[in-house]
Amino acid sequence: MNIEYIFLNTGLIAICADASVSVIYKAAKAAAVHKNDSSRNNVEFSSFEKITLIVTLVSAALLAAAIIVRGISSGHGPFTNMYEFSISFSWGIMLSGLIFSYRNRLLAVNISTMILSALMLFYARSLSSDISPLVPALQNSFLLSAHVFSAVIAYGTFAVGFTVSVLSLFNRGKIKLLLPDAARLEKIAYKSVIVGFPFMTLVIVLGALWADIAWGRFWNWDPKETASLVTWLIYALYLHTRVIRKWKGTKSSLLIIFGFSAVIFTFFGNYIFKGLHSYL
Amino acid sequence: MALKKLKAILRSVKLAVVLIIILVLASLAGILIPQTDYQNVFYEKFGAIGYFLGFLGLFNVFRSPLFIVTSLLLFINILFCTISRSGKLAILRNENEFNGDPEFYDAGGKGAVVNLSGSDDYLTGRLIKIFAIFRYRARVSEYGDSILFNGVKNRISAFGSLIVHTSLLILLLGIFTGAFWGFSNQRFIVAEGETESVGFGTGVSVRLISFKDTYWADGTPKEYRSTVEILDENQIVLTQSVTVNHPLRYKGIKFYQSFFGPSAVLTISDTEGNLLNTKNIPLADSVTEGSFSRPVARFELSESGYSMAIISAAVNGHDPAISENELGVEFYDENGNGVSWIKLIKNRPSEIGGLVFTYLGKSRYSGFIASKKPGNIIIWASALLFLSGLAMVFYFPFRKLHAALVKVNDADYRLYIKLIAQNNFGGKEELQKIVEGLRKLTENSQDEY
Repeated sequence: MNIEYIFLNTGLIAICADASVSVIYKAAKAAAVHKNDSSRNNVEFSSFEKITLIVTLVSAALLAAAIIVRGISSGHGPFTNMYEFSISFSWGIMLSGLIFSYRNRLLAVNISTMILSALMLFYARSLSSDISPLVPALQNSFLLSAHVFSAVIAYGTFAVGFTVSVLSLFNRGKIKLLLPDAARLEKIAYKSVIVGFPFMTLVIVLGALWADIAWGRFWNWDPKETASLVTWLIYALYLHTRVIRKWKGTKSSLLIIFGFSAVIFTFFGNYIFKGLHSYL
Repeated sequence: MALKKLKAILRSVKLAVVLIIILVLASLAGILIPQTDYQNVFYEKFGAIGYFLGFLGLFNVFRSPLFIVTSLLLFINILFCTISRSGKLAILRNENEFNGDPEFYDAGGKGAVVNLSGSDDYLTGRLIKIFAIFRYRARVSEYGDSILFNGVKNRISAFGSLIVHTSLLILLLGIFTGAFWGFSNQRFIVAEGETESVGFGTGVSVRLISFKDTYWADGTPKEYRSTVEILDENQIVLTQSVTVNHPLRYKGIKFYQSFFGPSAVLTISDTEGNLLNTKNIPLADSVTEGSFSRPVARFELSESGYSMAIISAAVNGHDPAISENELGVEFYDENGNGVSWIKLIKNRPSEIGGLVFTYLGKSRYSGFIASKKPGNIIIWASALLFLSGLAMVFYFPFRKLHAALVKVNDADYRLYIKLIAQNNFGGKEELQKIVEGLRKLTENSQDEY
């Protein structure tokens, strides 16, 4: 059996199991907690939580191995079609969720990004995994890899912001007791944007550089280019409204959710709009 | 008064928010609504709605007045904002600003107070070391009985926001430079064996020696390669290949391999058999008749004053009107009126209007993008500045520390401390870490005192 598929499927099974067990653990813990108990805001991981994080790390390593094996067998960075990019995107979400979860001592971040990552992997598995030869425009392996790798990091961190923003929107009424503190979630969302936004800028800059070399113009108002710009503008809007206008809470969370919707729109745009990026 | 109000609006973040929202919505329209110069198709398809969308400029959003004006307004907003906020660079001053009032260190509830024990020399030395761990080189001064500490870190990052916003203005400068002093020909077409002038006063011409396209086993394109000679004032200066991702550069002009297509080779002779001209004509346009799409070229016949269109067999199916060995030719008089239509059969001369035309067969043309963009280097510099500015603002933020060690009694002191961060980026968290470090100092100092 293809070693790439072994790594990929093992990673997928591990992440699904990890996410399921973590959700059950958290639900059980929340049910056992008194409503005035502030332990939901604990800043240290329990032993069980540490194990779930280690399993996530192992899953990320397996996915990375699958990507590397594919890169070796294809002879170029594995970023040239939707199958390859979906796996990379999933890896980006997984890794970002793990890092933000660990640094902020909040397992809910890892749980939610594991779910998102697993969904992306299931989508990837529905696509053809055939290795296609590169058309002339894609034969610039370094820039191609750098451009798409930046997108993996940017989209991965934006996914963290999205998941915590969704959680913070639900942070009211009785559900509030099951979720981390809204202010803490909102801070994590902000941190995810200050990592993701520079990388999103790098995506656009490297993409423009590549377009200038391959297509003769650094900006063509191609649908995918324009959708990336829309994504960038929304996150720029978020930063300005949060920092200067002091927006917090629901308004900010909605803006981040809107921004991530633009990420998904950009990601799947190839299916809807034909343009220079239609490398399917 | 009105001018003041206008200035206030032009430099407001609220205006930036509104303009960005307009650009987002316009860009979404540009993605969802087909962008084309051939709007008549949509008028016919969508009727009144098509006319309405066309009136709003939504078929050509990115060149519409709405988009251009909004973008320019945003740049003006950035300019005014940048100028008005540059005054905040006064924050760079690393001086003692304490005025004797302990409220100075309260910072709107964001300051901290830590109780310490020890001699003033000991505590001063330890505090300097602790501040140094957080990369503050503290300047020590005295104010009455109090010892004051002032430090800054990442001083240059105070310019971060200014750099970010100025880089956007530099980007605009690069775009205008390219628009006014550069050129771009998106369809610079040269047939094999022919020479075409780049124009725009460059004195440069390109001769296509050969074009070759290769394919992978599954039929997808592998490489498009044009071998060309560059002539400068009719002298050959360079012979090189051009492929996708490897443009040719000469005197600031870049030639990008963009597309290719069929061409037709014709000779024109007089009735005595004297060869007047041989032309390899790129069939770079197309004409559609029913379901057939035929490559076509239109050109002037300088020898006779006539113009003609030559049409090749359809590329998308078996053409019943023109076979692979034939070429359709339509002639027009000086007024553009069609005067005749003939079919040229390969290698069979045909006389028309005193000239003899012979179709020799098919060849190929290569399509380049020929451009000179003096603004590009400015644009890349602005991109680098923007990224550098972002890194400064987010990852190496400017911080300013003020602390005062106030004597309570012989062995006890109270330390007032506050951090100033531009736009409060993460200052609170760092202050908490410093306070934790200071509290550990308190535990240790009891042992050492």
